[in-house]
Amino acid sequence: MLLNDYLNKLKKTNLKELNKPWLSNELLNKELLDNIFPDNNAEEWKNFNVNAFIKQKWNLLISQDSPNLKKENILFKNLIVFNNGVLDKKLTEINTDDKVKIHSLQEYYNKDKTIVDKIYCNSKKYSEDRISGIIDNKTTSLLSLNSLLNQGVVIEVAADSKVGNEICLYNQISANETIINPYILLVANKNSEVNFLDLTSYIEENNWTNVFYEVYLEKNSKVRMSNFSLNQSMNLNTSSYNFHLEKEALLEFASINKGNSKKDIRVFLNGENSKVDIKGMLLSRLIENSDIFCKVTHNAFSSDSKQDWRMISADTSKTSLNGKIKIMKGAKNSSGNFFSKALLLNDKAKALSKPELEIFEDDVSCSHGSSFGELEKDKVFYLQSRGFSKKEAIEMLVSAFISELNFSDNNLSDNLKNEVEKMFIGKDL
Amino acid sequence: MLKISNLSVSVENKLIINNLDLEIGEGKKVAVMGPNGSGKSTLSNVISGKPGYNIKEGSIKFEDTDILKINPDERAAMGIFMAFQYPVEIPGIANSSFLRTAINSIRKKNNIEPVNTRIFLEELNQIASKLGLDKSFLSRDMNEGFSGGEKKKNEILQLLLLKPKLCVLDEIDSGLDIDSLKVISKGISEYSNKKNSMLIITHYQRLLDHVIPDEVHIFNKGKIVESGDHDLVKILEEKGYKEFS
Ligand SMILES: Nc1ncnc2c1ncn2[C@@H]1O[C@H](COP(=O)(O)OP(=O)(O)O)[C@@H](O)[C@H]1O
Ligand SMILES: [Mg+2]
Repeated sequence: MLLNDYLNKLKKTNLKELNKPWLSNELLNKELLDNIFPDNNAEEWKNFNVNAFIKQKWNLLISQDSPNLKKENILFKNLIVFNNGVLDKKLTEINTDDKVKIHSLQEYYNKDKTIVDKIYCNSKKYSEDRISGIIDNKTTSLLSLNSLLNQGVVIEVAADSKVGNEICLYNQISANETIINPYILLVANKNSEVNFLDLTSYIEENNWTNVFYEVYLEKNSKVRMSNFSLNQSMNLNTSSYNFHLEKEALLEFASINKGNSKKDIRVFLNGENSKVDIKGMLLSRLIENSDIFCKVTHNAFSSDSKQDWRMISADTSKTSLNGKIKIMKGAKNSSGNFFSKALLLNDKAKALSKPELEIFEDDVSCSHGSSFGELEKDKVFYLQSRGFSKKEAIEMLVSAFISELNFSDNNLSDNLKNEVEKMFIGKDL
Repeated sequence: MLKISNLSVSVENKLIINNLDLEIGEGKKVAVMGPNGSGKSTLSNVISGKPGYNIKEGSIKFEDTDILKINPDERAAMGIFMAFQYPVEIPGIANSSFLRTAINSIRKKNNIEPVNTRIFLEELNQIASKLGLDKSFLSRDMNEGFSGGEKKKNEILQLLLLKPKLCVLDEIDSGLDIDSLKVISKGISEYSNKKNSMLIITHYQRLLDHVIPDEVHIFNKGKIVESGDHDLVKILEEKGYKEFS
């Protein structure tokens, strides 16, 4: 079935019959179905080439079983497998003595409505306020598309438990010209500690992965989440990551965004002394468009946020970053920091970085800074004069540039090295 | 070893090296002394192959090969080394890994297998201690936050490690206290032998009290205005550069 046909069918049904009680009325608004794709008028989508997904006819998944995953290739003690965005129970293996549980969203909702109601009550919080007062639902609509198409999976970490080994959320894409919509809620209960590796591995080409994460960090929980993809090449990716932090919660989020990819990252610091540390690398080559919108909202006293970004654009590609810090009234003693550094490897390559501060409280500290540039010629010459070929010199300087990020997850730093090497293959510099 | 003939170089249409002839024989230490802005760094850069200069005329031959069309890294592999007046800082690269990559790049270009890590580290530590550098110096990022003296010592450390045939020292003495000057001079003098050559570029005479040159040339406005032996240094000190233009 094609996506458009399905959407037309939905318009004729009573959406309540979908039996997704967690979806708010706003999300179940039929007008949204006419307007499902974001366009460049929405601020969050300004820098991304939306034609890439508007122009194409997308298939919807019919059969969910495509188990050609070679499991011996994936060495994780804790592995949660998604085949084209759908949980694969057969291949999933977690060894955490019941510290980690997997539910369907429906089951979880029947068990406990509080978190789900808290998160899903107001879809508008994911939209940017306009000066005009009109709220733009474009981003929300893409989320609603996602939630309409997928049943949702909840991964819950028990209170007071520390999960020693990283949990790999392994999403394998083996479809073709298909839209793939994993819809995942991660819940870290009180005083828990967990590391997630969110890894999308593409076997086939020309798919659109539209990944949606809600991550809920209860009081005094610690979550580290790292993200990257393998063999993305001609696949398109749009991801949303929404983090909700309660009192004393700590989040470390690290990501490599590359290829035709857009990430929409929202962090809500809702509890006192909650803290987020975001590190990210944006890579683009050929004619790719690697884009991130990241917004941290400080809603609580003494909340702390840090964003540290690096961008590398090669060939005629573009990296773009919009980083926002919003400090609400009452979030006294908070601190919000944004830093980005972009490197252009070609005079036709582009990088855009736009930090924005919206501050509604006095007693806070905020900083932002961005720098852009080509490799310094004097450094290249210095290395050449010591015997490095021009290419080796440039590679060494780029590796110095990326080492500044210092990812704590080795999978991520290894992948970054590989991806950066790819930028130089076949290049005569 | 090096023969510069009839060399004229301009930058942005401004003539900086003006019809220069200079020859440096094997085993010779040749000093070029000139005031600020006379073109000393331009000369060093052109010898080592920095892009961005317009060579209007002339040639530079290194061991009978015209090097002007050869890339800087190839020149390094042939045995040309320049100690920079202003060494660059490269955060994110450890000094020792930079040094090992450098030595191996040069070896590779000369078809020599990579250096044995243990031997390399031994030699590196030995050179570092000779120059009075702490071990931690090698694990720090390349020149980042180094003092002026440490940066210059790092240049000499590289020289002693890479063992070039031709050393071009561009104001290696600037910004050094007297102790560092002695250490560096000693390193240079000990390295100097019958098989290698030195082009010692400086503004002041004090380095030349420690490293005694075989020939001295006074350089002004991109050309040599006076030549002599070590005694010329004394004469210059008395008269100043104004007398030579
Ligand atoms: N890249 C450049 N662009 C413009 N002018 C330059 C450049 N490099 C050097 N010059 C000029 O050339 C002259 C000689 O410079 P330099 O070789 O650095 O002298 P020295 O090392 O003797 O002090 C100076 O007048 C300097 O301003
Ligand atoms: Mg100079």
